[in-house]
Amino acid sequence: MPEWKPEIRRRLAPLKLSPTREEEIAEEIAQHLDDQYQELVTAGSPTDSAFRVTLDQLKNEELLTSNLRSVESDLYCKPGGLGSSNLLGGVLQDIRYVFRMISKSPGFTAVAVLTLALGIGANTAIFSVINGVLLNPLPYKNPNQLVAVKEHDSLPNVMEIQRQVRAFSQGGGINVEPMDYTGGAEPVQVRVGLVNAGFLETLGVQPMLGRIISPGEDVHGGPPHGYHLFSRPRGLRI
Amino acid sequence: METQASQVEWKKGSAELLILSLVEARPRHGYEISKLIEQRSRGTVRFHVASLYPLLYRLERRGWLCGRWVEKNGQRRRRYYRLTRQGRRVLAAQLRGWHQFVAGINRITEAENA
Repeated sequence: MPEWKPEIRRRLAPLKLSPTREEEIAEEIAQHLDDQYQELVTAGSPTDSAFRVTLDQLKNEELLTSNLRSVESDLYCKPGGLGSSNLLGGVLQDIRYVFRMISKSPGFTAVAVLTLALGIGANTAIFSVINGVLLNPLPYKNPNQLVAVKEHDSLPNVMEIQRQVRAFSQGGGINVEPMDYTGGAEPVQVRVGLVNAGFLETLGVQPMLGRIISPGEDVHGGPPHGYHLFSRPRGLRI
Repeated sequence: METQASQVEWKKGSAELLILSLVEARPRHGYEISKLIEQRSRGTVRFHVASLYPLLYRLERRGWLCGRWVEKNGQRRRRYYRLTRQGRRVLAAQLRGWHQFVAGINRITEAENA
């Protein structure tokens, strides 16, 4: 079967259509010419004669270009054309085209997707390390040695886990929850962090006032106030 | 020569009506439309691809036709054009206008040649 698309594309080139649209038109017209050529050959025409007769459909070089120019420029440029409000229609058409192409070569698609997945995964992993270590390290001493474990356990349970697990040199727990403070002029809701004795030491931070809780003082009922609550002009003092 | 020029003009004037009529019953692809025009007119009316497809796209843009690629087993995909609801209304109006126009022309020419 002769290849018609180059001839058609040559006539479409001055229109500067999107590749998808150009391919669509070229495919449709090439199919028309294929049908005509096949019919002539089936009817007994020699192939070179059938080729010439079929190509006659395009003999006027300018006709197809000029006829399409007005339609396509309207279609893609004017309000209401595919270029504006029907943009979604064009996108959907492109998506359908993509899936059609994918289904035609599943092996290539699988290799491409796998390559992309591995590449993206490796990049993400490397960026996570760079982000954590170089760009945004935690504001604590030895942040690369810290491990956070989120559990919905009470502090005594956390301390029990801490005693049993020997993989870490040090550990501590914090339980943050909203509470009502009623010791001032009016009740205030505050976020309270209940910590155990090893918490601040593990992070390597010092309290702004006072001292670190010692293991002997690690008893229920003695949470230190946060700086913001402490500094509020409500007469609150430790 | 004059007759040929007139035919070109008639073809231009009736092209939309012909295409809309041919897809009224069921969706058809471009080659099928072109073959039917040629066969039913007994070779009097022919559309080259350079005229047919731009016209199909124009009718589609106006919302009178809706083109859709259809893939059938063992065949290349083809673009089928079907008449939209708006296209159906336009076809009915164009057919009425066409019949009135032809009747008017006939009355004039027949009276002159009687």
